[in-house]
Amino acid sequence: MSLNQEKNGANHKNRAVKNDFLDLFRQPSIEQAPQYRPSPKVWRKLERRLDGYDRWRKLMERNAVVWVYLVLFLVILVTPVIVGLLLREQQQVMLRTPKAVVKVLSEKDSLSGVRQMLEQGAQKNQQPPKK
Amino acid sequence: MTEQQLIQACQNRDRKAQQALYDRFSPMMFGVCKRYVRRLEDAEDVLIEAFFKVLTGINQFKSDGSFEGWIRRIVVNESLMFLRKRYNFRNIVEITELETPVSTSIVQELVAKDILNLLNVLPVGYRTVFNLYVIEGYKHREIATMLNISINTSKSQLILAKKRLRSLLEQCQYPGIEYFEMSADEEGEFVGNEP
Repeated sequence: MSLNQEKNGANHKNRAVKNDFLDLFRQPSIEQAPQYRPSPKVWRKLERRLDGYDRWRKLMERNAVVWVYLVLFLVILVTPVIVGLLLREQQQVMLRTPKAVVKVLSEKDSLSGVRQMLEQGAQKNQQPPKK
Repeated sequence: MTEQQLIQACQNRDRKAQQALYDRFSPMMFGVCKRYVRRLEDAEDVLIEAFFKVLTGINQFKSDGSFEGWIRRIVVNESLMFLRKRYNFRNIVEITELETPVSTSIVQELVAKDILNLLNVLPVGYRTVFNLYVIEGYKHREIATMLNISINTSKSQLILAKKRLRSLLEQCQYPGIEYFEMSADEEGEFVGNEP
């Protein structure tokens, strides 16, 4: 047997033993060793934590629902007030603005309408004031 | 109850199903914790934290992978988190050359308990790197990121862990261990520059 063959043989042997050596630590029985089972109190502790978490989660869910209702209530309460205020303001603006301006604004896209308005205004200005 | 049914029931926060899931997986996962965390009480704390995350985050589990693998990853991460809080792996590297007293029960046929004892004899740095590389199958690059150490440190820790385990097995007169030699490529693993 040549030196290389011997070396290869030895390497194979080493690798096989090396695998055995590492497999010793990989075997599943280590992780299932009965003497290392967790004590029953571990589940009780975990259950208490889960109970606490469930309570917190329920509270959060309830709080979320409460917040949604609160926002909806505010929207329902505030919207008519805001709309009412806006309408009132609009009415006041209409009262303060001369009718001619309102008419011009409403017919501003029609040039003939504007011209007609201006003519009417000029005629009114030319008429002597009534006594 | 099948695994799928158990998962669905746990997603609906059914406490009995949660307990059934715990009963099914906790012995094995406790073994995983024990590989990383030496003290029994600490391992139990890690197990509680890990199962709390499993049961509260079970909706995040995608059914295309292995459920056991998913739990195992959480348990390993939780164990590493515990170790990182307790130990600074950068410092541990410097003190690992100190000799640790060997107090394993010497028997011809090593049983699972003794193997765990052997692992427990290892310093925390050796043990953690050995577990992550040999058992979990992580690469040195990943281990280095997980433990915040260099790749070369991870490699050297593994070599030292293997050497230490070998000498421990020799002390235990484990059959066949005398044939075990470190191969050249293995010795060369930690030689070289960090990429």
